Amino acid sequence: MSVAAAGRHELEQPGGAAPRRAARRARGLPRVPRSALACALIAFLNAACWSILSPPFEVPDEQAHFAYVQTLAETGALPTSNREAFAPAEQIARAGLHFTTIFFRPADRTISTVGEQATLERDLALPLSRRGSGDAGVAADEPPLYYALETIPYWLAPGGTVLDRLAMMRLLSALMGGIAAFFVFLFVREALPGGPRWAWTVGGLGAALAPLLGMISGAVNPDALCLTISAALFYGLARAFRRGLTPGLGAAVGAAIALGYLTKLNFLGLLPGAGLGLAVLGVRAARSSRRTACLSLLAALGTAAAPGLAYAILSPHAGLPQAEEVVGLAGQAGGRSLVHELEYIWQFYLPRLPGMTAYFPGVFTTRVLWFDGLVGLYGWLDTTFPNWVYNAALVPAGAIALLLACALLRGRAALRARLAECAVYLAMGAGTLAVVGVADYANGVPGEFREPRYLLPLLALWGATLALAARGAGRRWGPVAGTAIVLLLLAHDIFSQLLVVSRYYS
Amino acid sequence: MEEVSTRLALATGLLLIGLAVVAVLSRSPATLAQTNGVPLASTLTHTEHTTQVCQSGETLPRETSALRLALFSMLGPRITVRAYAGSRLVTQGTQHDGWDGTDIVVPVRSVPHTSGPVTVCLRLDSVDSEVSLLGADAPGATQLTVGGRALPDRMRIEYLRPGRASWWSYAGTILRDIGFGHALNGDVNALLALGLATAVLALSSWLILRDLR
Repeated sequence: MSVAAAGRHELEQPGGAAPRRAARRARGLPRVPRSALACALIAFLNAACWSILSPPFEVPDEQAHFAYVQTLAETGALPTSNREAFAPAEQIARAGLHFTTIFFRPADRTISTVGEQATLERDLALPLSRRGSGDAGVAADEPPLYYALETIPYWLAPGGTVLDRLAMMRLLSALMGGIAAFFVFLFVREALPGGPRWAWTVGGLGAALAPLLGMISGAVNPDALCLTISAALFYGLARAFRRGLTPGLGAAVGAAIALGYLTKLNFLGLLPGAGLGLAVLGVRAARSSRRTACLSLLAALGTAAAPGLAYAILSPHAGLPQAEEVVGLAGQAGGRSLVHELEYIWQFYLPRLPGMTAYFPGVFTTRVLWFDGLVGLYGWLDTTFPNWVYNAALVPAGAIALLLACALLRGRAALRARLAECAVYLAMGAGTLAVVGVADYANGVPGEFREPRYLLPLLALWGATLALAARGAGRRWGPVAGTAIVLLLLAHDIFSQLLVVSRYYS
Repeated sequence: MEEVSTRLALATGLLLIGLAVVAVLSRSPATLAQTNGVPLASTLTHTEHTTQVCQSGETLPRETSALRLALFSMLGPRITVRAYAGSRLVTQGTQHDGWDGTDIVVPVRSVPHTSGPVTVCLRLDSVDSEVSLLGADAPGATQLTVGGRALPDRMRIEYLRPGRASWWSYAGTILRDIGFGHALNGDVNALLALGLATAVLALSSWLILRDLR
């Protein structure tokens, strides 16, 4: 029996899946598609692989995120400063790894001799304090949810050295990456309900194999949880658009929102779109039952607001002041006007329009900052492919865009019918881009926030884009196109890992 | 029929990926041919504008195929490198904009013979973010000019050429080095990574065969 036939056989077993399905239905639980679980497993394994290949602290800001967790785990308190005087145990590990001479220096590799390894091991075994002065570098201002979760593997790590703890913490991030791919699959299934089911797998696998997801989920970085919660939020909204808003679903969406802003401030970018989505869903629900609509919206808003309020009250480091810090960064940026800020954000992503002040003269930001970044920018943004790779990548990217256009053209009637839903997703996307753009504008160093990982909250849309593109090839050639797209992502992942290996270990 | 097409696409795709991996690993990595001996001691100067930087008294070793420049930027501009022996252009190359960090590698047309002394000129185009030149003081030495202004410094430049051996010959060293500086020491790291990558490949192929038909 072929593998495919075996899978089919398994699905169709009358005595196997059907009674379980009926039992689940009786308990009111949705069926968990096996393909979604497979995508989750693939994403987890991929991130675990990245966690081995990326040298410790050689992913953006990992040293600061580790320090945050260490402070929280060792003192029970949040960090108090964004300086980088970390605990002696982390400092000596970084020194032993030659951290400061490697990052931003692609010509310098990680330690490579038995002597260096012996020195590192000797230093790690020293009974040095794991308590710093409360410094957590750039991570200090972030909300604590991700870091609180990471204290679990921090304490569970066998051996107890900084590297042991870091490895275990990276595995928790990898698990989050797996859950993210799971939600992306579910989102694609809800967002593209008609048509062939294989497209859902293309979307889920496309997300699971994205090297950027692997790199970030293979590191200690709150983006790992932020992107997972974002995917869950997209799924919740898509489910509500397809099946109607219920109090339970409202509470789930609210919970995703609450968890999101307790994880990373960038998540705030999704909120305007999510708010719009809840408003549209509320209006729709009110057409059939005003009471259900009110209850659902109350559940959503109540769940979303409650932890934030508690957080703001309980922690002097949390909540609204920080939200204002991000949203209001523009006001601190040299008093320039809102028009200039909008022009800057536009040019941060798109070509300058006539009449705009030039903020990135001579740079095609769409290509240089974002396309090239998504094709390959690893380590501390210092690990890149040769120039020709970025040019060659335009070909498959163009083919995917063409297939997507075909799919959208073919499905324009369905698209028109779901315009409000599409507007919600677009607003969530635009909000995410705007938050990063505002931060870059306020920072004053053009392009410093051009890291593609900031786009990972939109992973669900990436999955849907790939699924739609595969569909764009039509019913006959769709599976072949889908296979090609997935293999393209697989190749991208493999060569990205080889690039990182060549950069740090050769 | 569709199942056959998917199988064929998968088999073809995996074969192509395998061939590409073999082809890439059969190439030789660039190796350091020579440096100009300048240490990375300090930041020499910054620029935020389109400018030309020239440094005389350099020697281009035979087979130089790239220059590694001691520049730093958070959003690097397009760089055009030209090396002149007198007024004769010895070689040139470009690095597109958007680079980040230090040690910027600019591929150049391969140099058949050692050339020196040469003047290496860098044109930094459309500078958006500050670019720093790194090197060391060299009072009285051969001059570095930035935008026509002479500085008593020298910038560090490294000259790269294709290595003699392919990536395959470094495989043992690389697999060993992945074992350094991690929680788990030794070959187990590399084996674990290989195992995980294989599992990802196998599971993805299985899922394609199962669902994409």
